[in-house]
Amino acid sequence: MKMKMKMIIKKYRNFIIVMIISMIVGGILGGVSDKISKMDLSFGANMSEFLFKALFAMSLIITIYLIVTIIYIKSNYMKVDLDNIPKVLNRKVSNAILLCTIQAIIGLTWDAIVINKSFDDGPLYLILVPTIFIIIAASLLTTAMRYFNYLYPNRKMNLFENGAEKKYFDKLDDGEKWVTYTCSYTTFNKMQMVYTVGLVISILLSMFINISIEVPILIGVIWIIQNLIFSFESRKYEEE
Amino acid sequence: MELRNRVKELRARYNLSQGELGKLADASRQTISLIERGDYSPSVLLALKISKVLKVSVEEIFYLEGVNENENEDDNKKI
Repeated sequence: MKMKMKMIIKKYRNFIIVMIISMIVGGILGGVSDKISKMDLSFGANMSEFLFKALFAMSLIITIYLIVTIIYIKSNYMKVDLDNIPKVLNRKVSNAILLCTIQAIIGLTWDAIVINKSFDDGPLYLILVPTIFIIIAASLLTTAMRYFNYLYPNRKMNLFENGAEKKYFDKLDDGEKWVTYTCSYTTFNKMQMVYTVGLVISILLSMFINISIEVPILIGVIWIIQNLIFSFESRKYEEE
Repeated sequence: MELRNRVKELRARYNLSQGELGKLADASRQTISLIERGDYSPSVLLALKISKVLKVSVEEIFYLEGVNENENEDDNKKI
């Protein structure tokens, strides 16, 4: 009986430790939150203005870096031996494609924030600023892809083609597909952790400041959708 | 038992770069690099293509660590 108990404790040791720590931290936070009067962090005009400036600075830095990178690629890509593409150039091209994508996402989020704030009573012309950054990111992405297509003629990408990502994936060889599989699986697993941490942070912060209920709902919904997609996709391959 | 290979050693014999071997075997430089590092086990098709380029049998390139040649021969006889 004692042995069995010891084995159970050993098996679930880490889980028990984490639970005990969580209970203590939860208790402390609960006690503290009761004593501190709730702050009201307004997500109104001030926050909107701050986000506008922050996203502008971020987009400007990314765009300048992208332009410098594209200039570097442009002045070097014609000189390289296509059988031995230098690591630096390879890295710069993939970095440029990644950053253009991130910049486009930032631009869309920024647009959403501006529209949300300005639709009723704000200056609607401000939508132009993020939109210009999206257009710049799209044109830089097209340029970066043109260089990529020159360096890797067997794996040409076309941003505007239907099912472009699938067609690109089909062009990869065995090893590259394996790399994609490994990276995707790691991303999936790490995103589970990101959703957990996001939800826990939103719960903890909601003890002290007013957080919109949309935040945990949105995280939860995205988390569920991701798991459903994974589950349905994997079921397709279970059939005999 | 782990799959090991002599791709790097045999590639050096023919003075081929990873990119050149990849081109001849219809694979990318990255894939050859992954195989050499032991991170990725190639498909039968790719293993056969590499063996053809390097002019040796697949068993001479890829082998299981911890299995000696006698064991392999015994297995072949049993078959």
